[in-house]
Amino acid sequence: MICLRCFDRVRALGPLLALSLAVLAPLSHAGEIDEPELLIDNMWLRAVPPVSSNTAGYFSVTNTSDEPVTLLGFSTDIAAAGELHTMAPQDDGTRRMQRLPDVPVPAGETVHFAPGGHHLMLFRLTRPLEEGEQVELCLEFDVTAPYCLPFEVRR
Amino acid sequence: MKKLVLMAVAVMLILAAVVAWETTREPAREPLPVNTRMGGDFTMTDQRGEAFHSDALKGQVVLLFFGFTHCPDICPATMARMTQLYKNLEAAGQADDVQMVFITFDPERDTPEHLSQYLTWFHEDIIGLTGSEEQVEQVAKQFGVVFMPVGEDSQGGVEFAHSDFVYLLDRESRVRKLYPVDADLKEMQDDLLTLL
Repeated sequence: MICLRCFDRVRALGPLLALSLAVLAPLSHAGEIDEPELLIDNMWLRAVPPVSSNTAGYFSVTNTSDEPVTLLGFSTDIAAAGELHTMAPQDDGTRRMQRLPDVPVPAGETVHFAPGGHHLMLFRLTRPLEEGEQVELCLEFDVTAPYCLPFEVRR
Repeated sequence: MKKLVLMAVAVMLILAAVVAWETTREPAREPLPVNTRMGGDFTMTDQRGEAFHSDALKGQVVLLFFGFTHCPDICPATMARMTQLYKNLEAAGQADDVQMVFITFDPERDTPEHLSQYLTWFHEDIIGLTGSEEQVEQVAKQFGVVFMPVGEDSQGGVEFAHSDFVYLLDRESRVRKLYPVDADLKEMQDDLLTLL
């Protein structure tokens, strides 16, 4: 499994090298050299009270290639289900969470997942999260192998 | 003659000091306006399961937020920010007369016990309020809060569309300012201090 191997390296080699490996890992996994390269950073999960069963994850992804890429979803061991969501403004001034089937990342552009906007929705956490811990999430794109990266749990 | 010169110099120095002070000091802040269309008395149930009347907030400056504990994004983010502001005030010794209040609009799931567990994790000083559907609707109406169940998410949980302002109330429980959830904490702290 590329995800686990990638995460082991993350833990062993530190964030900077780990990110490089994360970017290169899908290339080596697929055995191709022309896959779009993605830069993923500022990965974190919202720390929530132990009584909460859901939380949200955030990151930024930059598509440094000339080809569009689409984020299809993600997987993780710490939640029973994971979906792509956004907070959509409504005509009456309220905001409502909506599920997104996928999120395009156009060539040369950065897409931010941030509080109050796009976020990774983690349903039914399998255990309480500790502030400061690193949790692995695997981001699944259409034209690359999954990018498995550590997300820091923060308030 | 020498005395006259010295006196003139002294007067000039004093004048210069006054001018310097007047030109460099921060202008006095305008008092925050009172929002007369929002607020009022209400009765609910606190996180200990006891009846709570809004009179208990009189005499304190209040940061009030409406939300629901199963909200994964806006609500915990806002609670974390409010708690940070409160901790900043605590560190400065200015939190004694400040009270954070969280009112749920999801009383079915946000029971007193659940609220207690949820809020204590942020800070033990937060007052959590729930109540009957009628009580929740009444207090939401008083503060112009819009919320509506919009069905279930894919996992069977009730979803709400909702407004998400933080309310600043003065010692007489009058609404003095509304903040968006991403408001600058320094601005909020400066406003709050004018009410203490």
